Amino acid sequence: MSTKMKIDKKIIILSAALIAFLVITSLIAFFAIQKVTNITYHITKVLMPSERYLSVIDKGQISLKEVERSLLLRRLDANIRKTIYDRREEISKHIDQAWKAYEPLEQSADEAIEWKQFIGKWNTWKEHHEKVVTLIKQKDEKLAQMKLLSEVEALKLKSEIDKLDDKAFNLSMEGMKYFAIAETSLEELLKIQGKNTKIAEDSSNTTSNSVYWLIFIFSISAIITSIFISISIIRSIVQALATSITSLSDCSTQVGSASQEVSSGSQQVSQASSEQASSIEETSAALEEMNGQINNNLENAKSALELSEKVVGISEEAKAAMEQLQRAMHEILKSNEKIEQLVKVIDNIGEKTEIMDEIVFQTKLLSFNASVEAERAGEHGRGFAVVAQEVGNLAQMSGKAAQEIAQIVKDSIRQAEAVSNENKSKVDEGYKLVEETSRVLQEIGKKAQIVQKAASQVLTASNEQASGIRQINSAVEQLDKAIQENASTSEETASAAEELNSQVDTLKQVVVDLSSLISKGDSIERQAASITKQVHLNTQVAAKLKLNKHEHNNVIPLKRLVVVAKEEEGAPKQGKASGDWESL
Amino acid sequence: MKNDLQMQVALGREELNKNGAKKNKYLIFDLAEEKYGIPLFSVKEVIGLVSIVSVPHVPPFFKGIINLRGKIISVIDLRLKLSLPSGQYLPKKTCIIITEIDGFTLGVVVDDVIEVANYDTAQIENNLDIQSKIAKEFITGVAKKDKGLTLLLNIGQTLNIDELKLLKEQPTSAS
Repeated sequence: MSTKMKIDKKIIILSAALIAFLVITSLIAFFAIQKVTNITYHITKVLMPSERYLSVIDKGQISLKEVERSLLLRRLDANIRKTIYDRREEISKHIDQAWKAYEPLEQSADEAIEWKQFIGKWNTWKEHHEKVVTLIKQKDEKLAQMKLLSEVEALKLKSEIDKLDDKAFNLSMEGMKYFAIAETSLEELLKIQGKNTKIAEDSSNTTSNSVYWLIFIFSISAIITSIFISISIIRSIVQALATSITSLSDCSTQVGSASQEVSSGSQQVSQASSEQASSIEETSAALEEMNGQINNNLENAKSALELSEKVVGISEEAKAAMEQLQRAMHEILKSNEKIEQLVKVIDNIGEKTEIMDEIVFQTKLLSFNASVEAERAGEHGRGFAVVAQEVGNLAQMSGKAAQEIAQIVKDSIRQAEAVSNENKSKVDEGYKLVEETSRVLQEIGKKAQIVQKAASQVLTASNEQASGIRQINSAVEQLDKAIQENASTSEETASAAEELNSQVDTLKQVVVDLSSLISKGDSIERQAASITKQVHLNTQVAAKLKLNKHEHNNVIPLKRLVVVAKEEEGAPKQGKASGDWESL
Repeated sequence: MKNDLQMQVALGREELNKNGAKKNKYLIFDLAEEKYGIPLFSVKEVIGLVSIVSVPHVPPFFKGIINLRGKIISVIDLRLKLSLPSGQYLPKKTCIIITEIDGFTLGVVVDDVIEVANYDTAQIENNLDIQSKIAKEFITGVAKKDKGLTLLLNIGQTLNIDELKLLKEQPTSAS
């Protein structure tokens, strides 16, 4: 992963560097060409025309000077002079044209100064020239008149003409001074022009030279950089390829061992299939058993349903009985009230015994008093004394009896109260028990209803289970088919493992080819060594596979014998393949 | 029953005649859970508890006066007189014994009157050095009957003359 990233980065860096170099070089070339173009434009459109026009003006000036000299010739024929006039006109025209073309053109500083100087001298000369030409023209007119006149008059005119000639000559001489200056100015101008042109050419040349060098340097550095980056890219690619080759050869080894594992795996699958088949048989037996149990369940659920219905009915009856019990308890409480009334009656008895007590006390006192009276009576009272004593004894006896009654009454009241209290508490307890029992009964009723529901649910569930069992049965049949298919698939897998082995050979060849691609020399030897090692390993693997196949044959059940025979046919093929590896 | 009574009365007479010995009758009463007896001849009457009007400026044992059939009678508490712890008065139990000492009628409050008992002289021990809470001069003797012992009180001795005088004057001054 990291090497791949590196390569990507390197390629990006290379492209970026190349693009940068290209852009810089293009920019330099573009600006250089623009500059050269500007210079060329200046030369072609400004400097060269200027020179040309100036030389035209120069030539024209010289021609005009010659024209003037020709006109100054005294014995020249008038007709010839006329042609000279025409020539002067023509020359002037040329000069004016050149002048007009030159003036708008760009001028350097010293050129402009020189030009002004020139114009001044030129104009002065031109005035002189014009005057000379006018004088000559007057002379021509006089000459024409002279032909018509007499000789005397002609002679007069001739002297006038001579005077005119002298005047013209003088003027021309004066003008010549200015002419000379203008001429030198013009030459100077031409020189300046030439100098400017040369400067322009030089700058153009230096620009192109420097641009050549720059482009050359940039190109060289771009080439060097790209070479370095490319080398590193190629190196990393080669490294990656080398590691890939190593892992490929590792892979082929692993695939070889894997194919062995697959072979043994297919054997195991075949074994497992036969085990599965027996398991399936057991499963179907178990299913039948289960079916019987489910039928039992159905019966049980039905009886549970009936029973729970009965329980619901019984709980209803018990509820009614509990209500009756409650009423009975209420009656008991009422009878308790009667006991309380009885206690009151006994209480009354107690009160009455107190009255008896009082009577006894009084009787006792009376008997004492009687005894006292008898004592006072002396001998006569002796018999009475006995009576009084007897009365006293009776009073004592009745007193004791009254006390006993009081005790009995007390005990009775205590017992009655105890009984009443006990009754009350018992009845209260009974009430609580009755409530608890009725609550429990209600609960039982509810629970019985729940049981009823549950039983009906169990009933439906059992029915569903029965149908489920049928589905499982069909599924088991399908499973049986699938197991048979599995067995045949395991055979196919074994042959696929063989195929895989031959593929491993091909892979080895690919590894060798790849190795020769990326390197020559000791690396190839190394690869060859590893390949032979691999081949050795593969032959070992093949041998193991063969061995496995034999073991497989022993284990495979009888009905698979046909397939085994097919495998035996495949075995020599493999032997041939291993021979091929050794020849490698 | 009637025959029995007559027989007993006849028997009593016979007994007296036969032995010739004098039988002393005593009224037996309870006082602070001990039995006491006083001679029956000193007793005038026995009554139940009646309302006693208390009198100021008298000793604590002097409970006050009662109206017995139009006669004003002074009443003392025998417990307090004999320096015994005071007890509660209970109806149908506590009795007032009306005694006559030297013609002076006096009511004595006792816890309970039990019986009228006959004691032979043989039954009475006069010179016994017995330990009792009551001063010896008040006790004339001890009567034995069955298993119990009864202290015989000299009621005349229990109240000295000055006290009796004081008590005698009291009702007149009160009236």
